[in-house]
Amino acid sequence: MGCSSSTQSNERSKKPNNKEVDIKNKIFNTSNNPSEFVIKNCSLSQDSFFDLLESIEQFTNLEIFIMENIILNSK
Amino acid sequence: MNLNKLAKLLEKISKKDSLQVLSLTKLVDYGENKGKYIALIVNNCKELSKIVLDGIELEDVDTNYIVEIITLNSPNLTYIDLSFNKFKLTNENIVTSFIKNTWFKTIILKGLELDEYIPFLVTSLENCKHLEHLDISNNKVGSFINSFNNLFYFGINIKVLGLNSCDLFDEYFAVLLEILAENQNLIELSVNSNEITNMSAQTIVVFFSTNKALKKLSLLKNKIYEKDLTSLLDEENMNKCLLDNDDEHLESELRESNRSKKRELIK
Repeated sequence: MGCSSSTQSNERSKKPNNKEVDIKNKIFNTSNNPSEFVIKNCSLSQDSFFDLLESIEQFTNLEIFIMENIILNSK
Repeated sequence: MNLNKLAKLLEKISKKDSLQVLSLTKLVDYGENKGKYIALIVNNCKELSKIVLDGIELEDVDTNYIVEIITLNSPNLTYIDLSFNKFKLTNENIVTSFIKNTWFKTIILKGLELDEYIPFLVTSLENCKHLEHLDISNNKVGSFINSFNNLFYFGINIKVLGLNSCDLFDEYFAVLLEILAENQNLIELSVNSNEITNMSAQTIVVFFSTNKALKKLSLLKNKIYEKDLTSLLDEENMNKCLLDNDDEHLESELRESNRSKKRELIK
């Protein structure tokens, strides 16, 4: 698994975690070229979102992309 | 402002030839123009087998792209989930587009206000010869339950059917069980959170006397409880049923009653 913020249940009522995830550090601490990218139940800053966009460009072997219950902060 | 953020992300993903699973759930306020790039992904990523677009605010402007995804009829794409989106379904677009797809094994269409379009959808699905799992929970299926007759009559191999929170009253549930009585394919039926009462107990007994294929009947959060069936069903069939315990129900009502009393006292 490339990057997973949470593996908790996916109930619709579940609120995303307000804590922002640092995508850049997460990805470079795990694998530079994962085949599976999973991010669940957390918040992303605008910067982290752009890091995510950049990272996806680098993934040459992406097979599974899962993004669930993520708040995108406007600041 | 999150202007077209998800669209930008999807554009990047559309260049990944190796993509097999795209799952997007509960992504709110990510901007517009998503449908276009989801269609691009389905067109470009030939290995894609599963696509989940659950609660991502797809709207009417995305309708043509959703139709494109369905009618592409890709043999690899066997799983589609379009639940809890904002687009309106009409019998002329998404609902009937399923008639052009023969490869879906799993179709999840929860909470889409299908309501009066249920008969059109069910008719369209008669062509999905590989369909094994259908879930149209959180739609008002109730009074349209008769339309399922042809779907099961035409030999569709559905193994799992989800009709939770579908306004199923006893009379509609009886029709459903009659339709399924001689079905040899369905192994799991989930009708949680409906309006099924102990009036359906005898109907369930009659159903199990004919149907030997169903392995799981989930009746949680209805008004029928374990005690209503234990004396009527043998152990084997009782084990197939998932029911709330009446004691839990009474305890829950008691708790709610106590809370109401406390609220009254506070006032």
